[in-house]
Amino acid sequence: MLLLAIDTTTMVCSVAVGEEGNLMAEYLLNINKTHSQRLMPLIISLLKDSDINRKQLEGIAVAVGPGSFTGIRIGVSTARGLAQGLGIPLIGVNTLEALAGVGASYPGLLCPLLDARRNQVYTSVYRGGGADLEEVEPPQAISLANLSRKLMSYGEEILFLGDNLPAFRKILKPALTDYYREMPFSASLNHASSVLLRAFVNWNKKGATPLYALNPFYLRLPEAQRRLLERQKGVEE
Amino acid sequence: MPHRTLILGLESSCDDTAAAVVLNGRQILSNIISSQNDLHRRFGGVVPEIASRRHLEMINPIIDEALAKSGITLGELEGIAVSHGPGLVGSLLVGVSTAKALSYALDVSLIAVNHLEGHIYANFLTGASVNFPIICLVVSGGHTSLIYMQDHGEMEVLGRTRDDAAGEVFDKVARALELGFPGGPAIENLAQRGDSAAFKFPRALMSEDGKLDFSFSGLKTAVLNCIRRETEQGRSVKLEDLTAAFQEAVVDVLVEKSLLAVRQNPVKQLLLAGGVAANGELRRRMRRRMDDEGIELVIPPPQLCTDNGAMIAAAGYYNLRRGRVASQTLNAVSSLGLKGV
Ligand SMILES: [Zn+2]
Repeated sequence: MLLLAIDTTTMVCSVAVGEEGNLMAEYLLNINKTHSQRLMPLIISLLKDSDINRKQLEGIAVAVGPGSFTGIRIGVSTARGLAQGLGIPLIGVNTLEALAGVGASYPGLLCPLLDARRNQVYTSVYRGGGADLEEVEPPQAISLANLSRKLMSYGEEILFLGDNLPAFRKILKPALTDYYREMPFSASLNHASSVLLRAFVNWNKKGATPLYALNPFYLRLPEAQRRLLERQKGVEE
Repeated sequence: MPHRTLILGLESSCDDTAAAVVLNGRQILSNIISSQNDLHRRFGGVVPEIASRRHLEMINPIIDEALAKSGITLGELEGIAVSHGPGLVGSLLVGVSTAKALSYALDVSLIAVNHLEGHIYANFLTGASVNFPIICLVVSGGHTSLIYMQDHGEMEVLGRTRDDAAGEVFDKVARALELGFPGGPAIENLAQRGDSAAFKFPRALMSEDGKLDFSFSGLKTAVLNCIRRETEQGRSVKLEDLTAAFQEAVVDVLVEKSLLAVRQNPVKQLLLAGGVAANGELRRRMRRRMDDEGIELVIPPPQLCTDNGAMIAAAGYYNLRRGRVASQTLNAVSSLGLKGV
């Protein structure tokens, strides 16, 4: 099964193509420019350079978040447009799972971290060691201080991944002492090749998502809605 | 170009998700709109993040519905036209990303349409013959502009609002009167039963010689102050009279400036476009004045005045005919100007 994979949910814009989860080609830009202008040209070059005709594609895998709201939407709407036009299925992959997937062979706890602003990170915890990632902590937005407390209770080494590690390390390393491990930077970026592999693994387990059921995973409500809910709660109390 | 050119038009610049199939830039085969009004009502205006999220949920099903209704398949399309600005950037990005992906998947032309240009081209879907040069008054929640068009794609802005757009002021007054969102239809309904002479509101820039710019912030302030004054003094505002007086002030300015524009330029037609062009009072008054002036007035039916995909497809058809095809680097531009259209 020939899959095209897309990840635009973070600063990185990455696309990959592969057969049965085996990577054939991957392009990655980490240049902090808008994904909207670069994503389609990147996909076109990727397929051209790999001698693949768009009509040969059998599915589109896409990272659905959490991450940048705008980035998520550019990736998901592009994936949905391609799937609709080509008449092929879609497979959504959680961005945190894809990031953890970069270190899937690590036989211990994996903790992908994405900047969620408002002094929080988007994170989840997986146990690696093979193709399957076992979810230990579900995706959540949490402060680094609360996260460290939670992770200390596991009492084992944790491998952190993510493009913001240099900033997060300052808090995590002192808090977690000897349990702190980190992935080297270049491997710590969001790679579409990892979305490709996770999509393939999940596909075998759960199958594809119907086109219109593939929705973004924002993890957070829009700010205006959150404030409205808080006000309503205040009124009730 | 083939004899039968089918264009899919996508529109997501504000709070309506829309898709339409148009034949040869003139004939609507389908025109599907998913309104988000209910979603934004409790916030008193469009919330960009909420709008963007809903666009993404709706756009593919809306496209399917537009195709099904038109009885054509994706494979028969000649091109995909998309509104890429001006508008809310997050909203626009959903349409733009979808259009780019879809046009690449289908190997058909991608056509970028300026949202304002789209509004103007709603007039080509009326069956009326448009004879250049023309002047178009585009009046909506985001714009109030007089545009001179020498030919397809050749546009010159003669005048524009220096502050608020006319539609924006309708919304703000409606909000102050707690009439709900959007405000236009509610105000128009009340005003029908009101006496416009009951209040006196300013008509801005009417005295500036030959100038075609608009200004509505003074009127807005006057109306809002009047509402506050009346409420503070414990009087209950007679909504019918107030809305009638307000609406008349807006219509007066729009009609008089349009009259000035057609007198200053060698045109025989005036086109109306944009959401406020659905206002019945504006349509009647403009019709009367242009008849007297010997100018033919073209107005789209109300459902084509508000945002829709058909107007984008129509504009896209004429762009395609002139060979104006967009590349895959196309981006959403929130403050896109009419220059270079
Ligand atoms: Zn509009």
